[in-house]
Amino acid sequence: MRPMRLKLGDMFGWATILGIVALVASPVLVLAWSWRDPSGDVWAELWRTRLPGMISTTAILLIAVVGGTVVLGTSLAWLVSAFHFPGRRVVGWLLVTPLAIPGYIGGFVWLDTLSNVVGARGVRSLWLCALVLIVSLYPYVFLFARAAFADQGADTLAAARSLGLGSWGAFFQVSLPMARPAIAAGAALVAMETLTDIGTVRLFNVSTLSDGVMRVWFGTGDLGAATELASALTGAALLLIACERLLRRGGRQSRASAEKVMSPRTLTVFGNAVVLSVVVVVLTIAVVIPVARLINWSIESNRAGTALTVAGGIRHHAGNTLMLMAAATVTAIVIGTILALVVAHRGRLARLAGRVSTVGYAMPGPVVAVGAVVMLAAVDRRDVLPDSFLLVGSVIGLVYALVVRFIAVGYQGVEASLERVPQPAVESARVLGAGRMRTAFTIEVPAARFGILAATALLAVDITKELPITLLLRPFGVDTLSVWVWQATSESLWAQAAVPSLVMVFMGMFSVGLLLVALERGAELVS
Amino acid sequence: MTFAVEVQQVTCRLGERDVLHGVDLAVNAGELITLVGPSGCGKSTLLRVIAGLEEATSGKIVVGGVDVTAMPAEKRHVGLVFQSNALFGHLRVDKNIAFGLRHLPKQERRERVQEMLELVKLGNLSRRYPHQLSGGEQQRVALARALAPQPPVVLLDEPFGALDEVLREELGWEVKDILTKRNTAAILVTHDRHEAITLGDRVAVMQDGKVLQCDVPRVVYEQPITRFVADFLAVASYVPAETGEQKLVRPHQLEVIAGGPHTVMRVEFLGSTHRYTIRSHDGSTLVADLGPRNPLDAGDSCDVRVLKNS
Amino acid sequence: MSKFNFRSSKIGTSLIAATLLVGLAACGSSSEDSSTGEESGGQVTVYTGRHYGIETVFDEFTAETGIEVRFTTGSDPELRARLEAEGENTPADIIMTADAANIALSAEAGLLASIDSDVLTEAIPEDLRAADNSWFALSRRLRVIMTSSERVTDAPQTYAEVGDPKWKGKLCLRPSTHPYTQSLVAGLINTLGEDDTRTIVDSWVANDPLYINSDTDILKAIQAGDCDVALANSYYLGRLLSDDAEFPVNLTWPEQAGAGAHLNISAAAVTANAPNRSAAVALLEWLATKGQKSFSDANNEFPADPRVEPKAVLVGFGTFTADTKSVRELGRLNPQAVELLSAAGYE
Repeated sequence: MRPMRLKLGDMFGWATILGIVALVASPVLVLAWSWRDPSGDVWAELWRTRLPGMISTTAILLIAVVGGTVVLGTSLAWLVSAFHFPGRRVVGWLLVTPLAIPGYIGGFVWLDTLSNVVGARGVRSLWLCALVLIVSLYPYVFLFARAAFADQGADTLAAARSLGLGSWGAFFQVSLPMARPAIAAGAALVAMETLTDIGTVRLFNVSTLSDGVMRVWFGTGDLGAATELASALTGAALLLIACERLLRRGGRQSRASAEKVMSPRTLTVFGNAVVLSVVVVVLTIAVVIPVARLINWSIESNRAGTALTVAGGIRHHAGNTLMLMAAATVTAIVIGTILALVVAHRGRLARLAGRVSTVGYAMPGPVVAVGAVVMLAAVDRRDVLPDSFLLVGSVIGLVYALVVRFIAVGYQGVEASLERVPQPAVESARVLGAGRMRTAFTIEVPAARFGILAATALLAVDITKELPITLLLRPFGVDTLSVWVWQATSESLWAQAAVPSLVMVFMGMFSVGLLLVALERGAELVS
Repeated sequence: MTFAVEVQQVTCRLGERDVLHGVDLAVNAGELITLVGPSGCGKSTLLRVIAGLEEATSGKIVVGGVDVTAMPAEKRHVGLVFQSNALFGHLRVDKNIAFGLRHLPKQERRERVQEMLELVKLGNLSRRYPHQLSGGEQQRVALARALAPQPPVVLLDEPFGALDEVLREELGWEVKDILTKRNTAAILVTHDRHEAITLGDRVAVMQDGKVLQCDVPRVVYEQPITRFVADFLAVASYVPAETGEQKLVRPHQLEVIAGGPHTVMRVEFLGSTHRYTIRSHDGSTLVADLGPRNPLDAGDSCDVRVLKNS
Repeated sequence: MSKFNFRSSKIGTSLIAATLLVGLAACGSSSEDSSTGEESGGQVTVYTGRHYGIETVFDEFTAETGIEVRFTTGSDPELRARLEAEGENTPADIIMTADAANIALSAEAGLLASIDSDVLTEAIPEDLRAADNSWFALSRRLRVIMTSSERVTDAPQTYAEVGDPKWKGKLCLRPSTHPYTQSLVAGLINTLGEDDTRTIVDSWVANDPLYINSDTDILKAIQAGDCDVALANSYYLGRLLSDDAEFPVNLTWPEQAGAGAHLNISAAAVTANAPNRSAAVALLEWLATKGQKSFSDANNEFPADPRVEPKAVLVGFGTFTADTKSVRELGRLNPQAVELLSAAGYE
């Protein structure tokens, strides 16, 4: 055995890791403490009644949504990467825009729209719920798969073709297996979003486990039992992450620098027509109809004068949303980057510790919200902060809770882009006399800057959409667009939710634009 | 005298595997040692241990007279050149070279960068970014960057491995020249035996985490201490010696005569010579290089003789 | 040290700047808080699970008394969890819920203060407030039988009749995740006992109901012909009738020969650790008296004080008896109701 030599720098690094992880995981861990006194009777009743159904419903929904997003996201990514057709570049951007539409907004638009087609009874089905989730979540897979296809050299594909594989054969036997780890990473995000979704599944009467958590909590007032269920759910989610890691380990081929990027093939007129109609259908379902419907509702409610009266109006809400989004996004990306930098080069144990920081993402939002309240209130009660300042209900408290919920997005994004920084460059910096800090901030961060920017944009998208934490922890008078949407939709006043929804969607589009720029510049840098 | 680098009984365990066990190696000031061995023998690891990128499990490493065994990489003051991908892609060439010069005042730093650029003949490319350079140019920048802080030793880990053969040979000599000019010691890891023998002031041969032999090329070539070293460095044949042992002969030490107990198996045209692969009457294989005249063909019978004083 | 690390200090600075930014944002908002608090008549802070039209009512109170009201909305259980976690530090003076069970759970958790106020006890009937006066109903909401005025002539008269097989495939109900459903079943357990309630719920489930998680959408589903019979809160019909007097849904007061229609309440209470207790009591008293009408009218509900005239559209629904005896028991029976609903396979 190598003698354990604990150096000052090492101790500092570990202290940073443990500090950050403790900070962001504690709200969840505080609640998990409820396991010390398990609610046996609640569990027994659940087993007898709803739990088996909830488990199977969750499993079916998960398989449907993950399967659907993988098929849709991967095939769209393949179309955009392997073929040349008019408007290819613009289509590549547009296909990411569904990210800007929160599931609960797309959900109520589609619920209302489809009711007119299949009736109120027909619309409340697991399959339509899955469909709505698929069209709102497929961009995660699309983004990852497209990046992976771009990474595959043209030579690999040419070699496959020369061995007698047609372009479909080459896709299934070469490109797809090589892109598998990236697709799995995208699918893992989709799985998380699906597992923790409450807004969309509620609309469609789909009783998933997350819905069950809220059912237990709100129905019996037993937060402890609800948390036990939620942490079981988190356990399942972590298992999923482990599976994803396993898949990712399979292949980590990267393009040798000299190899050419895959060159898209020109399509026939017929091919163009097919590709473009697929794209048009997807975009119509995912973006055009929801946005059109929202615009329609906005105009209607404006004309009818039934617009919900809210203090401060739309500019106040949009301003608050923007301010919170900026503060939480910057904080999350800074902490996520620091964590990823400290975890890198520290081996498996550090990685495992880093992974603990992502539990907030694997829990339903309302549970994280309450965990954060419990945490922050405990600090408040100790009077450590000056001048009777209270964290609960402060912007700091809210930003903290948002970071707890979403740091996974920042941390994993940065971690993935740090992994792509060539190791020899990092080691050269060390040997040239730069300590860990200087290496991190002058070499690793600049080299990974577009990946970090992309993670920032993804964070901004997520935080703009967030509801339960903002609802519970916002300071007095700081109402956001999502709170407004909630107030209207919880009374089924769909039309009155249209204006704030639209503003949210456009803010989301801006972040998606930023994401696309970051990804494009990053890709240029690599090639 | 002090060595530029001295490695004493260094062992290194990575994960479950002992990669180095008890390596001893000392490099004199200004000396270039080439380090060869089969892949996985630990040659790259040895460089990484010297540079401080891996920790030695035991043993001692001295660089420029200072015991650096317990120091982190950034304090060791060694130069390191990787095969590829080591330049800082977001920094210009001059900023790359200046990276290790932070301790110098601005003016001096600028002068040093200029000096380095001229040394590696890239004076006009200082404002380019790495991806705008050819592979050979990139490696020159890497060398300039490693040399800039004037370390007592530069470690080169297959620095020409990614280049084509002509460029590799040319750059090899140039690097040796530069090192000599700067009087900088170097350890150069290579998988190219020819490169090892031609460039090295001394050649170190490694196997299974140990340095088997380290000596001037001629000695290692002609008097390898083990059969492994002999076979690894160049083609070797073995003939019975008077003592009854097997004696090593290199291809140029054998003469082939038409007619005899052996059979020519194959004749290869090597340009300035022909290489004969001969099956001897006792079943062993002999290899001989002969001049441009080609008196024999495959299948002919022949005899061989060991040349004296060659 | 001779080599002062200039660059990393720059990074340090930017980190500090980022932290400051967040801090400043927080200060900005907290200074806003204090400025509102220092106006003439003081301030009262409300956590409210009821949010529809609440703002105009508070504005009215402020105009009359000079006491500022600041409030935050949310769901009842989450706000209760926050109140509980905050303990002595809570800024909340009043907690307001959209149903009876949640206010009772707050009382049970010791989060509420008993208020000894003649104004309140005089205005709010005994059945509609806690025995220890720790909470008070402010409005009444009734879960009633809704039928299509176009297709149904023989509307069910009791909750049990809703389970009549002739409504199979024609029934709309709210899912059991919603407190209104839970409270209704809790009320039935109180008046009929668990066995009879189970029989009723089973008969509902046997009718293969369409579950819709919104009373408004339930009524719209009747209009659209997706169902003929439904259970919904009275005020949703009031709201729709205010927009469209011809809305094709009839209201039937159930159980008029028995315990009366299921009654739920909107309730409010002063919190145990209220920082501005007197202002809180003032708001509560105002809501129970002068503010009764606008509080109830804002959401088309019946005032808690039966002497206060309800909104005209509600008067049109006719007179009725309500099950006032169950109100205090709804919180206690809620977990039992949830369990019963689960066991019956009610979605």
